[in-house]
Amino acid sequence: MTEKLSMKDMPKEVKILLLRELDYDSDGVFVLKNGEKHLDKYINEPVKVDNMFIYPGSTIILDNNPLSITSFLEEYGDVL
Amino acid sequence: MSSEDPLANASRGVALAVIDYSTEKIKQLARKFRDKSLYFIEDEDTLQVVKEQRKKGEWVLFREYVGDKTYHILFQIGLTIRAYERQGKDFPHLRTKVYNKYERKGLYITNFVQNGLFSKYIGNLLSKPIGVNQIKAEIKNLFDHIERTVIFIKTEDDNNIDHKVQEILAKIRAHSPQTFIISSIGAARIPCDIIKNSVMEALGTQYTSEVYEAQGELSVEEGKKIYFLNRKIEPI
Repeated sequence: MTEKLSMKDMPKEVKILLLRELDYDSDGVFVLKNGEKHLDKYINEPVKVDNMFIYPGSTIILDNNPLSITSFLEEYGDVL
Repeated sequence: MSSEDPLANASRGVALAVIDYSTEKIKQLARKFRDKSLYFIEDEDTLQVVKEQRKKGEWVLFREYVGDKTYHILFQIGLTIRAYERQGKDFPHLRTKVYNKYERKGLYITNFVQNGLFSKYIGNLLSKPIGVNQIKAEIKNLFDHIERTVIFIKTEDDNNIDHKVQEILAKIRAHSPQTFIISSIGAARIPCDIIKNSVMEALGTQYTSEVYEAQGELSVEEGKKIYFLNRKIEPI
């Protein structure tokens, strides 16, 4: 099973550097993709850098809230 | 990988503070991510609560009877809101997100599950002489049309009894549901009784009623009263 890394104590600067490694970016508040705010695919809302859930494969970046996480598990199964 | 390796520790979600976030370490995290051996999450508590709901008997039972993915999600969110409520956590943003995506019907379904109505409803359904396919159809019909088959009585409805009675009668007469549910919590149980009695009087012999009552887990004020108005099964 894929291991998890909590980002709770990770400095924002590190999160942004990590996003850049994953071909995303940030304006300091929101996650950006190709210069545009990246939207959580389940709730259609911009994802904030301080509340991300990032899953590998096709790189899914979601807002870390129960509705998005539940929707993710419903689509992908109990992979977490 | 050695247990001295801070990245190995980090990937187990341990001792993040000791990680030296050098450029190389960030690249290492990204590599592990691309290898699909690592994912990132801000708040593990959210994930934990969500996963716990997927183990609950209510969810497993619901999944047996209902295949609709949207209803699956809303059902689990109802359980999650109930879990938050029991933990004394605030969850207004979650309700807003449910409303933004699934509108009023989504909130009805999450309220229905949060208030424990599904387990009582299925108990009521299973007591009838009907088969599995009909049970599935009944549940689907309830969720498809939940706004016209369930009503949540509020304390302030005490000042609005006649209007509420007429609203319920209009829904029942328009749609003749197999089961209509009148639900209340705490002080709302008093207007709920009055409303239910007036509705039953107006319906005559078309429906029978069953009541479910539960004491509040933390206080009497949290006690619930749920009426199931069941349409009489006509002899063939």
